[in-house]
Amino acid sequence: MKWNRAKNNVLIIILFIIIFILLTNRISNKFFGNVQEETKANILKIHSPLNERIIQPIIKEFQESTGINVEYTSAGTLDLLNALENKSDKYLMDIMWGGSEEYLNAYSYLFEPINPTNNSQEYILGYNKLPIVLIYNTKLVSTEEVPKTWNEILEPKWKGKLAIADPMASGSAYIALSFLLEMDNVSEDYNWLNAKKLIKNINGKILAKSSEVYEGVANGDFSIGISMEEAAINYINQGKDMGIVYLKEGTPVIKDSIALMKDAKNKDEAKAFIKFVLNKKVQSYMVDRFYLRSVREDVGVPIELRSIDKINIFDASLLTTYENKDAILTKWKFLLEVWEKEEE
Amino acid sequence: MENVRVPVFYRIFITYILCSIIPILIIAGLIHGVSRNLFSNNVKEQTINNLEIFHSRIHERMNAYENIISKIKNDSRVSEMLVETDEYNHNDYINNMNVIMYQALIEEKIKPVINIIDVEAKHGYSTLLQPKIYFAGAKNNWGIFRDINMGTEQCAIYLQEIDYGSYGKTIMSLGSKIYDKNGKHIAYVIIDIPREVIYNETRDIYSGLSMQMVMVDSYGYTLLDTINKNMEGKFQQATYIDPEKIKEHKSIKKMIEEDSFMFFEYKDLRLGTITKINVLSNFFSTYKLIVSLILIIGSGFSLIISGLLALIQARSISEPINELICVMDKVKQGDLSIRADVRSRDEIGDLAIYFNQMLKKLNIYMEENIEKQKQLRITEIKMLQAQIKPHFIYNTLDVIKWSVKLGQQEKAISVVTNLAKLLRLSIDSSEEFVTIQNNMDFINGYLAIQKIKYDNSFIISMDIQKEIMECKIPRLILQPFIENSIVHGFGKTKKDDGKITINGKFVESDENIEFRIIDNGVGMTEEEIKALNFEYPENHIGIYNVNKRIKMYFGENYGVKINSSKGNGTEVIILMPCI
Repeated sequence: MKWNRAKNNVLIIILFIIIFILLTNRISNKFFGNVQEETKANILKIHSPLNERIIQPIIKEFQESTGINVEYTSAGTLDLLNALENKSDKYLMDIMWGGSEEYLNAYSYLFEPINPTNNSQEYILGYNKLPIVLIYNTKLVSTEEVPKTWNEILEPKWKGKLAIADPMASGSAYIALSFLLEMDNVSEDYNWLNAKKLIKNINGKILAKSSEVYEGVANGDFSIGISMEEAAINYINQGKDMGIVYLKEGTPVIKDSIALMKDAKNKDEAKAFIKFVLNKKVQSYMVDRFYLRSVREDVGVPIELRSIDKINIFDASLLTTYENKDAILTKWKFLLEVWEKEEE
Repeated sequence: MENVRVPVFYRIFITYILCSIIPILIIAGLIHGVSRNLFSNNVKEQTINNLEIFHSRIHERMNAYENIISKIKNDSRVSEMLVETDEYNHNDYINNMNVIMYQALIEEKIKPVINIIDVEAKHGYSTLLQPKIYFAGAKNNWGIFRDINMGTEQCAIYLQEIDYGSYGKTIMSLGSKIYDKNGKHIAYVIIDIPREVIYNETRDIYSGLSMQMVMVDSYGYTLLDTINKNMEGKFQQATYIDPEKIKEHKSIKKMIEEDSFMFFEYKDLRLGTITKINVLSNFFSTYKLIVSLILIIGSGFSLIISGLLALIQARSISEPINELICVMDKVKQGDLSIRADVRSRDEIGDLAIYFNQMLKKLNIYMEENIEKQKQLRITEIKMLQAQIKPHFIYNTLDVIKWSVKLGQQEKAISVVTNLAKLLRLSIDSSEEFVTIQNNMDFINGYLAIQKIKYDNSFIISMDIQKEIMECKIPRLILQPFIENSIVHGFGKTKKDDGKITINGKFVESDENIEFRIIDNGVGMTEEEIKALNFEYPENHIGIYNVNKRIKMYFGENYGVKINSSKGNGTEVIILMPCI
């Protein structure tokens, strides 16, 4: 018994010591841990696949002129679409800003009409237009040599010299692939021969991000590439050796869009943002600074860009590939694997 | 658990060690806590102080830049040149404008960038290449231009990063309107402040501590980050899905989560900036190292020292106890002469001393007890000796009575004389042991009485070695046998040729004496002999007495042996040592 009691006493003493040490540490931590918790209220949440180069100044200006705090998530189009696909009831964001209209249409059930007052059922508003063009490194390819048509791109002489982003990750690459699949199509299915030719020419080298295409062409890793007009113009203006070709068969145009989420927590702020990015000031600033083509008719085309009338615009809404996206991407993946085996 | 036996040694040992380690742990904990407290208060105070100095220096710089701006906007040449935008003279204008701008910057060590742009964003002048952002901005009332247009005559401070390529980055801008003679707003003048200017001022904040300083605007736009330079120009609150980008995006929040000793914010209302300081805990690690070194070395040392002390002390306590236990065990086995060898001068030493004293006392008691026993035995012997006397005296007095009655005066006198002699011999000497000579005198006296009593019906033949005469033997050893021979051997048979032979001699190398008393009386059966030896016979009390006395005195090896058979006489052999 006596030993037992002694043991208890020892345990109590040890406990005291531990508590004491913990307390001294805890108290000292309390003194310094004056990290201020930021208030989470009324922070507008925006998801955007746009280039951060564009996102940042617009959000900066929005915040400064309206006083609304913004938190944005920047990611690839398809990553964000995946997030939408899997979000179920979870609140993710207030606004989906960017991504082509065709993509967003598939998720229109998640969006809320932006202008319910004027009876419009418009869930998605165009925000800017991005023509898909061929870019080339002017030091590697002369203006005469460079392909002028989609068919020329698929010629074997460009094997290993062509850069394209992964259609599974990049919206611009997917629309380009879609265009090729429907070009000269005679069968009921898609023109998979073009896809095979494309795979041959890119030598199986799929670039993860669309930015790698124009970077790769600019630094000479690739001679030609399929990219967005805006990115190419930006590079040209930076003095890089880059040229643009608007392809003859047609130029698919991505209509970057903006949509308000049905489950938005900050609807007023979200609407203010949508109004902000669509107003003339921001639209013309985008034209002046980023060479983007505005959806507004009262905003002109950037001086350096070819007028939209002079481009053979391909109406992307004619494409059926967005409805069959999963099947097409599965087959694309399969073709890539087949090609890899053949190469071995 | 209750049955676990924990030896005293281990208990003392462990207690000692705990007693030496625990204070060190407590003290180290206290030192750690308290000094950390003091230390960090100090750091905090100093850093905030430095931050204030840092910001006031930036304000000074701002004042200087505002002076430059007002110099330019008040220069009439500038507005003149801006109004008369004659295409032909444009190059001259540029040169003149450059001269004005460079002169304004002449006192600046690190040259900021001056930009002048007209309200229509058609003509711009700059000490470097005018950034495109200013054309797009001025045209669309964007950014700094919005601030300038909204503000009064004061300079607008706008927080933005502008990349001037090889020149570096500017992270703050000051802007103001330029008016013409008529007070019409015709242009903007903007000074872009290089990152270097601000960064140089941060150096004083570093008081030898490793810390991260992040300067953001009120919307989380990063102007300056002393550790993650690539965060500059980005929003702190941006998030990503691409793991690579998540890794690249090192917001101050993330950095604090990773490692922070102290964090505080400083808001500057004039600049509209929030400066966040995260003091990394690694400076504290040196301190921690010292404390833990003290802890480890200190507790190591004290562990060794206290371990040794504990060992010695525990041994000094447990060993005497073990010794005592050992001694007690031996005492239990019967060894009373052993003593505990404990010399420690404490309670345990006392315990041993008392234990030894107790043993000593016990010994004395034991000895006293033995002595008492001895005394008791002697008393018993005395009692046995005394038994002879009344028996004999009664018989003798009877003889005297009859002699007197019969008128045999001489006989009576002889008996009385001999009785007196006998009584004197037995009373005179109180000694237990007497010489054989003495014994023989006694026997002769006794025989003289008996001869008278029995009318000389027997004869005595005595053969005692001269050498043994001086040996001492117990009193009244031989007499009972002689008496027995006379009374029982032939006293009752009316035999008149009775003969008693008494032999005495040394046997076995002069140490022992043997007496033989032989008679030719009736003898005894074996049963009678046995009865004599082992029982307490009523009639032969004297013989039993003798045997018992001899064995009591000298041990079981000595004693009386009787050889006899019915009708053939009796031989009594008495063996005892010579003293």
